[in-house]
Amino acid sequence: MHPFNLSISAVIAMLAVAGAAQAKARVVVSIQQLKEVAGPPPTGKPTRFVPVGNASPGDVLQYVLLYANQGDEAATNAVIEDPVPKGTTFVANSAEGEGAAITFSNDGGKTWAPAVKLTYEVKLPTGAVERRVATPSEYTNIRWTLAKVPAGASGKVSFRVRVN
Amino acid sequence: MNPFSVLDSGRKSLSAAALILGAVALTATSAVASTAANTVITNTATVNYSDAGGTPQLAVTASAAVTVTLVPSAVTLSSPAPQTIAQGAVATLTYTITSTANGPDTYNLSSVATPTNDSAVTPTLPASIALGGTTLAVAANLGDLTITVPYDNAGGTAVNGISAGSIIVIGGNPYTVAASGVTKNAGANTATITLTSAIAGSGQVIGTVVGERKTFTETVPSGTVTTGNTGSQSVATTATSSTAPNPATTQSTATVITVQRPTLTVTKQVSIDGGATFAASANAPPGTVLIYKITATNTGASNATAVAFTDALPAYLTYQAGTGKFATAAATTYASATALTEGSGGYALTGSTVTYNPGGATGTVAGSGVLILFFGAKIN
Repeated sequence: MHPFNLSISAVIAMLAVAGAAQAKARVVVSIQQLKEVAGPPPTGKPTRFVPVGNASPGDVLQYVLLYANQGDEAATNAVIEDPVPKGTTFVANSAEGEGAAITFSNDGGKTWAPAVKLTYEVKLPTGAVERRVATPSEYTNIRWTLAKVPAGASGKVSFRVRVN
Repeated sequence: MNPFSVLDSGRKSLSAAALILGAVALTATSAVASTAANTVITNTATVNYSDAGGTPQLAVTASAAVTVTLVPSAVTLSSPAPQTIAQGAVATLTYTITSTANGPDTYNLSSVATPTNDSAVTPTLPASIALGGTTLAVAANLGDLTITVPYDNAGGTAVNGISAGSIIVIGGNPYTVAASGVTKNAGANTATITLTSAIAGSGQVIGTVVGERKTFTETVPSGTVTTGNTGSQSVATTATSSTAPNPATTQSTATVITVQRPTLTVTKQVSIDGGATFAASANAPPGTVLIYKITATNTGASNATAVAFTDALPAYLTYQAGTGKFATAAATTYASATALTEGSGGYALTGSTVTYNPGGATGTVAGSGVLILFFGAKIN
């Protein structure tokens, strides 16, 4: 499937769709868990990402979510949702996903908005309410929305976090 | 969804107060916040989708877990106060060692004693000491009797090496883990530690290190003073993490052990008037009973023990039985000194040699103290 060894503690859960006999759309997903490490000097690359099962506070992890539609019909309105893991902080501008609309939540998934529109209200000591723009470190959930995943199609979305 | 439910209490709530606190804490803790070693961080992604006809299908999920590793950190090590010991004694130094790491670690101990006017010695101390460590998963408030830390992904009654009776330091203040100790909640990915005293001083933010504190003792022999009455040993003890890159801490102030030794001087005087007056020399006719006064003075600072006199009578003198006396004060006269009996109390006459080895308290002469022996002998 992909060149990385997932024998780490990654768990791939696939739920067979009920009545899959005439399976229409059947989407599967898996996670690659990578860590940013400094590349060896000769390569000239400052950093690279390698699969890991361990990390230290301060390390940057990249989660790559691989999805595929193994059914024989298109899947529609596929929404990939991933809470920023507790114990980590979202890295600004790290969410990627070709062809996907990416939205964020800073309240555990109750409300969603594109990054620049994510705001929240704060009651000031004066009693006035002020609306503030959420900084990426406050993001709690990320959502990628794919209008259509054709049969046999696959893709990936990703984001990075820093271990607290 | 995500089984890990700690470390983000400030983020989920939309309450104004929590968000203000959260914003402050996030900027303040970005430098110090640390997740405890052995914490498992699980990421679970969920995909909801519909079929081509728009009918929702069962969601699919995938998850990946990462285990947080120990970031070794130099301990905090106390500098025991200076000591003064007698030569021949052993100094005992008690150190306090406190973890500042996010997880349990073993620290190798070593110590160097640098002598000044003293012989080289080798301190004795434990080879290593294990200290627990974790971090706060939930902010600790002033007055809290429990703290919440990440689950360490292990069974047992200790969380990251911390258990009932452990001394832990949070924000510089020490606390004792209560007998009820540690309660683990694997489902919530947390553990609760009950303290015997409430969080004092100020509240502590998420990620604050909870480091175990222990004490250990080190013994340092006195060595032998080279010249004069005193020498010293300057002791520097180092604790080194056993985890690469092996950060180490050496006590900030070396502990100076002053070694004192006793120095005895002896004088001998003679009296020709029955012990009333003594002089270094005198003239007397045969038949005179001379009273000798031998004074041992400890000019050192520490006790001289087992002080013993030996005096071989020269020719032409005959020891006079029942004349032996001793005193422990320089001003004591022969008349008021304490009588000795030959053959007892360490006092003896063997041939023509007088010996006095009282032992015990009498044979111990403190610094600046004296022990005086009197006895009589007649000129033949």
